[in-house]
Parts: sequence; C-alpha cells; structure tokens
Amino acid sequence: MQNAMRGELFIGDRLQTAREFRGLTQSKLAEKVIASPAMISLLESGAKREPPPDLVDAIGTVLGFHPDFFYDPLDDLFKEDECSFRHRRSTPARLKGQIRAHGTLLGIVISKLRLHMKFPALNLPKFAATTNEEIEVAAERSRMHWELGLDAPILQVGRVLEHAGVIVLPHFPQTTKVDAFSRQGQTAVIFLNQGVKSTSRWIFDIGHECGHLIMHAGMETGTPETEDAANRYASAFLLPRRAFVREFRSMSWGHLFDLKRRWLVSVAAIVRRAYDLGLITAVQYRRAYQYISFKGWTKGEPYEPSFQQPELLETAFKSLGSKVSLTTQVLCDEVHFTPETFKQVTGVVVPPPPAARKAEVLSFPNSEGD
Amino acid sequence: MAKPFEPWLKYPPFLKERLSIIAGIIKTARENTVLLHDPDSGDNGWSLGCRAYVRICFAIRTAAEKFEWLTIVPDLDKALRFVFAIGGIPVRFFHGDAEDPPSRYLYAGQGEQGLLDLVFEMEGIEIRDGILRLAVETDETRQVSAVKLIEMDGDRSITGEYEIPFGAMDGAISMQPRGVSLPPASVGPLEEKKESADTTANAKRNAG
Repeated sequence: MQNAMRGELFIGDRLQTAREFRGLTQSKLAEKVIASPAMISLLESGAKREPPPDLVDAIGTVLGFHPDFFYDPLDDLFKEDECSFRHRRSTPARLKGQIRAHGTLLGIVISKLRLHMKFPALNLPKFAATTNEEIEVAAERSRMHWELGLDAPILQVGRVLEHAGVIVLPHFPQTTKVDAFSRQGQTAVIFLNQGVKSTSRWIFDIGHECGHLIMHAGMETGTPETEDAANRYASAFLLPRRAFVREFRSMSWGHLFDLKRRWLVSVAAIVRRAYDLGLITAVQYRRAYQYISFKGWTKGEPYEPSFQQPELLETAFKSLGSKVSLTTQVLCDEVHFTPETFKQVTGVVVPPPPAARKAEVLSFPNSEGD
Repeated sequence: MAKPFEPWLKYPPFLKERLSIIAGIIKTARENTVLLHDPDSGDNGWSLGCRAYVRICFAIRTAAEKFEWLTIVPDLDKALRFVFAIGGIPVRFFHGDAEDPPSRYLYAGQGEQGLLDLVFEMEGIEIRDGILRLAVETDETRQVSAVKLIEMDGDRSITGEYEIPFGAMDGAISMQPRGVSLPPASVGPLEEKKESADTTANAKRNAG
C-alpha cells in the first residue's frame, strides 16, 4: 500500500485545508472523487486514517496536490480564533474558510523556507484595549515599541510589519467581499486584496490588521466592536493624535490633500480622524462625507501615494536557487503541491523541470543508415 | 500696480513658510551661480541666465525629494519648460520684473493646465484660466533682490502680487518632522551563519 510505504497516517486537517482552499463542500469533493460524503467527513475528522491509495490519488488530482501532501504532519493550522477578516458583513463563511486554508498552505511553504532562510523574528507587542483612550495609547505604544516616534508619518507601513516578522502578501482569492485578513500565530500574516487599487486604502488595511494582531490575539474578531477598534487603532497608528492635532488646520480640501500627501492616508480617513479627535463638528464631518461621495472619491481618491509592494516574501523567493541552494522546484516538491497550486498559493511560478538531455534520448533510426 | 494679496487665503497650500523656502532656494542657487560668473572668460548675461535657470530648476528638483508638499509637474510639450507645484498648485518662475512677465511665461502648458483644472475644481475656486508665477527680481550686482508671487487672470492681467519674505522657513521645517523611512526587512540564507562560523573556526585553526 502506498500509505503503508509512506509509513504515515492520513492527516484529516490537510484534506480539509486543501478542500476549503478549492472552495469545495465535502459533498462536492465526494462527487468529484466518486466517494461518499461520509467518507470525506470520516477522513477529515480523523476517524479514518488509512484510506485506499487510489482514493488519495483521486483527491490529490482533484485538489491539486501530490498524494504525499496528505501524510505530512500539519503543525501550523490557521484556526478560526487566530484569524481576523476585514470584510463585509455578508461575507460567506465558505469564503473565509477558503482564505484561512490559503493561509495554512502559505504557512506550510514558509515553514519549509525557514529551514533554509532566516526571517525576521516575530516582534509584535500585545496591548489589551477596548476604550478609545486605551486604543490611542496602544497605537502610541506600538509606535514607540518599533521606534517610529509619535510625530512623523510612516513612509512604508508594510515594512514596519515585515521588520516585526509578519509576512505581508498581496494575494488571496479574488473577491470584493474581503479587503484584508490577518493571522496571529506561529506564522503571522497579513493578506491584502490585490483587487484593491487604492494605495491609501491598502495602507489603512495594514494598519487595521496590525490593530488586530496587537490588540486581539486569541480573541474572536469580526464583531462591530473589534472592527471599530481596529479602525480606530489604524487611525491612531497612522495619524498619531499629538502630531495630527498640531498639523490639522482647516477643512479646506487643499489642506486635506496636503495632509494626505504627507501622511499617505486617504482624505476620508483624515476627515474621520479630525472628527474622532473633536477637531471638526458632526455637521462638518457629514458635509465632508457628502462631498467625498458626490465627487466619487469613495471609489478612488486623487493624489494616491505610490504603490508599496510587500517585499519580504518576494525577496525570499528571489533568493531561491541563488543565495540558497533550495530551488523553487525542490520547494514545490517538498511541500507536495502541484506547480499550479504553488503558484496559486504563493504567486510564484515554478519553472518546468529541465528538458531531458539529448544524449539521454534515443534517436530514431535513420532510414538511410549509417 | 496690482494690489498686494495674501496667497494662502486663496490658495491654502501656499503657506508663507513654503513660499519662503522656495524663495530661499531660488536666491541661494542664483547667488552661487553669480559667484561662478566670469566675464573675463567670456561669460555674459545670456550664459549667466541659462546657468542660473538650470541650477534653480535642479535645486527645486532636489528640494522636491525632501518636502512632501513640493512636486515637479511633468510637461510633455517642452522638456525645458519647468513647472513645479506647491501643495498640488502649479507655478513657474521667471527672471525679471514682476509687473512685466515675459510673453513665453504667460501660457500654461498641458501639464500645468491639467493640474490647474484639477486643483481648481477640487478647491472650488472659479478662476480656471488664471496662472501663478514667481518673478525673480535682481539688482545691479545680479543678486536676487526679491521673489514675488504674481497671480494673473485669463487675460493675463496681474490680479495679485505678494513679495515673499526670505527666512520664514524655520518654523515650517520644525513643525513637520520628516516621515519615518525604514529599509526593507532582510531575509537571508541560514547557511550564511554556518559559513561565517566555519570561516571563524578555520581562521582559529589557521591561527592555532
């Protein structure tokens, strides 16, 4: 038996991860591999650990993994209570499961990379905060922890998180229902939606997810309270109150766009910050939002900062085959993904294996003889 | 004569401190160019003018890397036409009397006009055909005597003139600390450590 040769038992969590990554229900997968939904359920729950090899092969083929994938231990499963989503309330649970599964698969790749490469150590402070004042203080203490000061804009907020050992990835299933996702755990990640074209929104999304990582470790997120808290944290982290109060002068649009150019935060977020800090009245705030909406700036504001591509993982992948002996191909083999799955998980293309050398290929007999 | 005006009231990004920084840059660049002026070797007014112009452009370009509110406006029509923007509002500079701008500075190129339209639309300011210029006036020693911001309407009549004070920039700089910039986070091969440990061990062995 193939699994007997592997000397391991089938790992149900791996099957669930692979299935959710493909967005399939147990019934749909069962239908595709000609098995019963009960069999898939038993495999995932761990009640059945030695499935027939041909079933494992079929599952691997349908889901895009080598059969060995299902027999490796899974040390770092992205669990529901570790993950936060910046999303719409209507986001279906299946989509969230799909993104979590994507995170788990990425974690598998990163775990392998860590055997060959040194990543920045995880350096995320933890501050419990629920009231606005506590959140303001948490954001200020985060800035001080990372030696960013309280007076100046952060020009590359993604790098702050990458220095803190967080993997930032502009990559997950194309959807308009989730802006960003983060996970606190052995591998801390922030996924950003590459469909979001606004850099200032990306920057705010990173601040928001940073808020979850700092304030909500081990807590259930996604409630209005935790989302509001993460938004407040992002505002306070990106626009520290002391500096903002000093620099905010008026509701002139020219001044607001000046602040945007300097602080790399959307005008909408700046107006909100001014309101939260009591620098403008509720009427001014509503009028400003009405104008933003009228101008169509809710879909895209002028004077967007230049795009900031996350760099850490990209640098790691670029080192493969050059600075480290491990190649992308070998890495793909080691995690037992198909090249297509590897690309979907990491965004990195696995080069095809080198063509067989000519000397190893028998030539067709020449009819003219020699 | 056009009446004096306070530009920041109509153009909020035109803070006194910012205008003063620009005026200072122009003055310094011009002063340094005059020091290099050598009529005995063939320099004349034309060569001084050209040299001062490109050096001032260079100084403003360099300053644009430092100040978030200062940007260079690309002009595809003419490579030598230099337009920059203060807080998104485009402006050009010329050498001469503020009340007698050269005709070639009276037109807004495509880049300048596009930005004017956008900014004016966003600001809700109705003067869509107006332009803004900095007049660099010099004295008999060829040094800068004044830098004046002039506002012209669609007919190119001067509607506002403001002599920019030199040296009002200190407050602006201290008020706005520069943004925090981090280098990329590093990720490197684990072997590096091993190699360096090996190298140290070898070195010790060799020394021993």
